[in-house]
Amino acid sequence: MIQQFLNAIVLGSVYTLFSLGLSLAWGVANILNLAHGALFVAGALVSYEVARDAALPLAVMLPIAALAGGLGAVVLDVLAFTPITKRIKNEAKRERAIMLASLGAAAIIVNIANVRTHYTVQRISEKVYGIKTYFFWGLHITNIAIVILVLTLVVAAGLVGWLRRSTHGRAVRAVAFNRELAPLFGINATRLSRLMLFVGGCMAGAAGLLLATELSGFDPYFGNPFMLKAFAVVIIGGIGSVGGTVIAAYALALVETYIVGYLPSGIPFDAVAFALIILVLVIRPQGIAGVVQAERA
Amino acid sequence: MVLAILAAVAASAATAGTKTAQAGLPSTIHIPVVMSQSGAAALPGTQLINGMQFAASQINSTKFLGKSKIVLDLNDDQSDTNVAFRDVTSVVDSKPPAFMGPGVSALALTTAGIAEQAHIPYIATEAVSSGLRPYVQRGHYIYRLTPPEFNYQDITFKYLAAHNIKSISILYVQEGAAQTEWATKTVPPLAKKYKIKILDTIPFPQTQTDFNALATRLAQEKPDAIGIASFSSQNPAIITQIRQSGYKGQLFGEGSFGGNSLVGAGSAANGAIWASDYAPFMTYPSSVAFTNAWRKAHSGADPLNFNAEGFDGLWFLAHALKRANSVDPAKVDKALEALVQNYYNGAIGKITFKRTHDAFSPGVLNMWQDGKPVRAAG
Amino acid sequence: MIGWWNGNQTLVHQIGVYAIAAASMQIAMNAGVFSLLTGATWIVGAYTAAITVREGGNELLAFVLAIVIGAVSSAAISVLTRRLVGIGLAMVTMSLVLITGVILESVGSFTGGPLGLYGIPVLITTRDVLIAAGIVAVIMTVLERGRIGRAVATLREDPHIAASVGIPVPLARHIVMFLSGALAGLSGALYAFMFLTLTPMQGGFDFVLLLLSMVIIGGAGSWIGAYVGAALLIWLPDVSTVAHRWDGVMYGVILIAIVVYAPGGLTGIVGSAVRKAVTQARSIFSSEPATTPMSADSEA
Repeated sequence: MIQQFLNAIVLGSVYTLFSLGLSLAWGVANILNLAHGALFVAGALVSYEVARDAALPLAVMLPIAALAGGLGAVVLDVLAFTPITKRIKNEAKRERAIMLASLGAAAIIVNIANVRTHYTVQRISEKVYGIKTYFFWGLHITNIAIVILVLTLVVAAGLVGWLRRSTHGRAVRAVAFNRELAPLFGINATRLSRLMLFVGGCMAGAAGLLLATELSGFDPYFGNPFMLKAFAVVIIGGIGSVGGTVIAAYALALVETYIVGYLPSGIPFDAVAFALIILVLVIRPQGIAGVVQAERA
Repeated sequence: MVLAILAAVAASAATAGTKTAQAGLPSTIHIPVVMSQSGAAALPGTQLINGMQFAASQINSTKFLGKSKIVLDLNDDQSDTNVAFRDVTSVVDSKPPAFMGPGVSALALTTAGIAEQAHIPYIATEAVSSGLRPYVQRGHYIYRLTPPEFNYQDITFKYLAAHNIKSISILYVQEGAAQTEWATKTVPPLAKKYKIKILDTIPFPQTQTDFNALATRLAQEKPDAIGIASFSSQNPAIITQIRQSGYKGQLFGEGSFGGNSLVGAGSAANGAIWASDYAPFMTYPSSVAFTNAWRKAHSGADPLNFNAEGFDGLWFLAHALKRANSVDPAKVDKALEALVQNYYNGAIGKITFKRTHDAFSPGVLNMWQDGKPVRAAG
Repeated sequence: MIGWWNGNQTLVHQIGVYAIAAASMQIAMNAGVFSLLTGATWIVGAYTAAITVREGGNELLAFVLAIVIGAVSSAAISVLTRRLVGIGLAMVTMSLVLITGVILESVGSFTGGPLGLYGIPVLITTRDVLIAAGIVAVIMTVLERGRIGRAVATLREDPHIAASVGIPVPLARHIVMFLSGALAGLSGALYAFMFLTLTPMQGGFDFVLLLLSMVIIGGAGSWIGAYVGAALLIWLPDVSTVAHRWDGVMYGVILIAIVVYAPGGLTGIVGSAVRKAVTQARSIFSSEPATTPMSADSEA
């Protein structure tokens, strides 16, 4: 019982780390980046390539993986998102164009990963981080799970603090509330979007390395399942809301863990996330106001 | 057994072939191959092709078909039904003597339908789904040279029973045709036969990445052994997380444990067992001959089961071509039909057909030990 | 020509099936309804057709049932999701597509479970597919022209204006989704009787993404775009045999380039080139330039 709770907390941290970046870019920059899962793969891939030549310690590898994801997001913004936002004024069409461009970008990254990994599962060198399991009071947890847990808490708390305290953070919240306000704050909306995408990409890249380590390997498609969960998390938690995302991530992890752990086997628990997306949006379409406008008529 | 060895020797003597006049065969025999070289099944597909190409070079260099040489015409089905459908359609339109078809079961099922209509023999390798079973019978045009794994799972359970395993729990990926079949159709009767109790059978989706909750549940059920049938990419995560949960019992699996898919699990996979149709340590003469020849040609590297399966597929076809002495598909089909009346000594051992077009072989039990499979001591 | 035809019948056959599926998605998108439900209605249509024949029904009944079930379920979902627009609708419909796969997988022997259905008889010829694609093209042409076409264009550009000029917005949406579902069911049935096998996840994410790319690359403004996109994306893997290793990169680059620089898709590029060269040539796509969907999209 307690062990399953511990499992859920670790899983929830993974969901949080992955979903926060997606949520920020979506809520603040109004960019639904469907390549987020591919940036996650990019983080794992770059770590794998670097670790093959030089197995640096995790503390050095993490920033490298994060940068891989962050820079990937910036390239995507420069080549696709910014031009789209400049060219397409109709909001519905802009949203759709961004979604499609990010899908295209995901296809490119996955293809490269496929070629580099020879279409198979690859493991990041064990020299980067050897996994150990600690047993205590009949429970167990791995050292990498502790790293993930702590890092998630630090990132989430850091983001909340930054958004509340700093001038930049307040500007971000203002823009999230109303994009038209950006110039009034003397903010360049394009640069702000780019910053958000960079931060989100960094989190995806770092998560890629951590997850590839925790799961003893990665393949080019291992971002997809996390994307599906992240949608549910972001929609339930409220787009762009750090607190909401954190709560939704842990809640989804708890529900999934307890279904797997205690209900009769054979329940299609992967459908939980989809069902939640449908329920929340159909019952409360205004729940993601700003992105989804409920019809006024 | 003596007979079998004699037959194996005879077969390899035939391989050295001295006959020359093959009037009915053209100087170049084009054998189309439709196989995945890219996409999800690129790894097995490429390895099957490597096996076939190795067989082709043996057939040609030993002049097995006299002056005739086999040339493989490769088509990449991209692991995609649409592409496979088109490739196979254009392949059968060119009226080849026979063709080597996709290794992915779903693609093989589509292919089988086309081959049937066109009356062109289709040599299937891998493609172990039971869905193919209605097609691999007498009077049909499909010949499956890779035995479906349910044909040789008995050895796994014999081992479990011998090692005092009284209870098991099973974990399987629900999207996997072979995995689902193994968990729900193959395991229960075998468990019953060896008086092993099944505590739980848990399906999980392809998209599952985190197995901690499942591992904890399994550990709490305290089975003597845990059976795992997942996609090979999921094996490392499942096995490490089960071991991290403190589970110390026996782990066993099926075909997806092969192809070096346990490498990622590191030492956590030590001691895990599974049955396969081929392993480099097999001692059957024709298997040893293949393994040694392969190592010699590949600077000592061990062949994978896919290599052995592709190798057997093409060699079997070569025997049929020789017997038919013609590239007419109807005659080649007749020759194949005649060949399956007998047994065949392949890289995967002694293959029998039991009056069908479907291969049966005894299989071999593997145990993962420090980065590679070794023979599991009975 | 005859030689080409014999060698490429299957290609034509496949393009026809995918063109109708892409048209199912295009008809919704052109009316401003960003629905991805086609993946679900298509696979349900395909299963319906295959199961009807398995249970002893004839081919005609199979097609009728596939089309009706596709259309009715699509309209029903449209009613349930009437308050959703844009990405919200896209996500809900995508979730429904994924859940449909899970359900087909879990139902058991009736749908064949995870193994799906196999041994489906071949009941159609390439000619049948071409006839179906032709009929669909005629219906789509009618819908894109005249009063209906103008109404659909208004609906797409601004639902509020549409409502103010007397277009019954919710009803119009349901009708569009009904048609979209019918086309998906038809395409699914054509697929089932051609490919001999069906698996539960076939209508899933990859399929939806493929159709979406066909529509966007071809041009979302007209059924012609859906057909062109289908022809291109089905034919491309055949031509690019050398580039298989990099087809994801190729596909991604094309998609991004179209979305960023030519939102009207290939038909949009051709359309505006033709318009620039010969003003009269407008009539190629539409007799009334004001409602030419391409002009609306390419200027967006």
